[in-house]
Amino acid sequence: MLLEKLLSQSFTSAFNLFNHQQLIKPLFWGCSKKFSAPLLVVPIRGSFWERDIKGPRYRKKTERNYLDDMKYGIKELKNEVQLWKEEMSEKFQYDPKVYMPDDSEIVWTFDTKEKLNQWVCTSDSDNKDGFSHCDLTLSKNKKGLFSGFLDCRVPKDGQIKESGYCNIRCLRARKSFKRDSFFDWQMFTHLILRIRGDGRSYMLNLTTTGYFDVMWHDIYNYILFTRGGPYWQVAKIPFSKFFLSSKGRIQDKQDPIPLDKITNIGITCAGKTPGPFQLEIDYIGVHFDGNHTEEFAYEMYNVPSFIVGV
Amino acid sequence: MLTLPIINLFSLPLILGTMITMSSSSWLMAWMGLEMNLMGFIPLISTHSNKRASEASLKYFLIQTIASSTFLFSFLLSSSFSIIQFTMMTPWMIPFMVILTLSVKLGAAPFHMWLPTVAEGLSWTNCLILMSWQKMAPLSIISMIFPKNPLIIIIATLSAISGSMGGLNQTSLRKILAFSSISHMAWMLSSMLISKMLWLFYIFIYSIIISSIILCFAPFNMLHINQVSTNQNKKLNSLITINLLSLGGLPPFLGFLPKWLIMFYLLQMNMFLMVSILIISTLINLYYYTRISYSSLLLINSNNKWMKTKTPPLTKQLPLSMISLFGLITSMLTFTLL
Repeated sequence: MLLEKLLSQSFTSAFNLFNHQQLIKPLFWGCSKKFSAPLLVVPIRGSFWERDIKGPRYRKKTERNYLDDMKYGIKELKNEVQLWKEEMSEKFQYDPKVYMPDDSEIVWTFDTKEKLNQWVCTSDSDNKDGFSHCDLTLSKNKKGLFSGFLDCRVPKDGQIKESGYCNIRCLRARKSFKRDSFFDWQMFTHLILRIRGDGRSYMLNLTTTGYFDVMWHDIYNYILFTRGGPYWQVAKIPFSKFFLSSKGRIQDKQDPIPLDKITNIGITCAGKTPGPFQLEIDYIGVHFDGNHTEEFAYEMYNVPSFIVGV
Repeated sequence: MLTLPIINLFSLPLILGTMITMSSSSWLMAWMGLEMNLMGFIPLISTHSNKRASEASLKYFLIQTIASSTFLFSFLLSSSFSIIQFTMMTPWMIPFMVILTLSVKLGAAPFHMWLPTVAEGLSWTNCLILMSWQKMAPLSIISMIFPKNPLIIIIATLSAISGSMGGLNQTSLRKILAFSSISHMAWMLSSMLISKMLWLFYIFIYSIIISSIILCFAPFNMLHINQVSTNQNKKLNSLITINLLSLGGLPPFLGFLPKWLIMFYLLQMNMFLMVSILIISTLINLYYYTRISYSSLLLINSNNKWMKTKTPPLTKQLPLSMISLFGLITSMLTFTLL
């Protein structure tokens, strides 16, 4: 009886290895504590290769109407040509901006609704992972207000272990004709944010989506500590403090952030304390501090060369 | 991790590969040398514990293998497999393909777009090898076979224009030097119209100058124009300026000598348009070289009293920079005395 059960289990597991619906746990994720220890969301793939950036769980199938697409494209053409002309005139001016010490550049302000449209607000309820809700609105002082309710209740679908996150992320930097681009902050040393928080700690995410699929989910994180008081604070965080994570997992092999390959910036509110949250943002910018000499805050051990992956 | 045993092991095929190509008489041995060189260089650039370097090394590998394989297929079509030569009976397409594939390997226009992105991902030492040593093998093949091919003139012209225009909008030092190497490629290719050995002289002088520049940037980990302009070390700034002006071909520095020779002989061959394009592109290159160093020399920078950093002595940088500074005068004196 036991032998039959073992044989049937091994047969089905071998069969399901090539079926992407089967859970593949410790071998690929490296957690060897318990065989049945699921993660936040169960991974349903049997290999490292990924077809697209969103992943199978969140991929939405939409039917496309090609005529509508073409009409939309023609409408956008005028704007894109105008953008292209501006790009070319800037390119052929051949005068790149060189910043001196103590120069800052404000990249995002939040004083109009059009500027808020450059940001996307998501929470776990949008992905059917929980019950939190959030919104990015214009506050009374004409600043951006990222507020909502963080709910840590776990939906009972048998797959999710932990829940409760809300996030705002800016749209990807774009060139003309919808080509993807990067924010080039190589000349700067610090990220500055003028914010008024509620005492919670938020997570800053600088996404550096790479060309190859293993680098699609590379995000550099650092914690944004806020004071709860009525006074505004200017958080000045050096880029050398940001640590690398991929899909929410902090990587063993750390790297300094490639400042010329930044695609998005985001702020996440997550944690184990449910309740309302509120973060008022005046501006987000970058700063060049001439006295900042730290290249990277995290040391890597000098390991022998036979240790793989480091 | 790039340890000394790895460097020792893979430097050998890197050097030997180029030497095999330069001394080979058959197509297959020349191709084999190129492949050996590639196999030696790839571990040197991909052992760095840096995802940017691994991305750059992957891009470099893909481009070089595509070029090598196309080079192999193109010379297999030639009639004389064992001797590197093309006869009158060879169809024009075969030398055309061979030159194009070797231009891909060199990073000459119009196949130059990979060079700045790859150079930016590499460390300074690997950048130096990429811009000096890796050029020698393909250039030697081009010089052996095609001393006077109109395609070389087109590639040289395009390289001069794209190298000068591309570097104008850059602030990253490695990208600037990559575009400058594309420009210098134009000079080396045009020197092949004159003689088979002049390109070797040019690349030798170019390697000295680029080594002295990289020796100034690398120990201080300078990767960006900002870091040069805010540098407080006046002696280092002067050395950087001297070397950059030498790279730009300005007399009385060493970099002027090879350019002078090429201009002289090209003008004797009545190639006025070629010389004009090369000179104008060099002038544009000189603009962005001086833009790197002028702000550190001419603009007033604040110096913190409380921040006392010990500036290391410039013992490594001085000898090569002195060669850049006095090389032209000493070589002219020796030539006149002889």
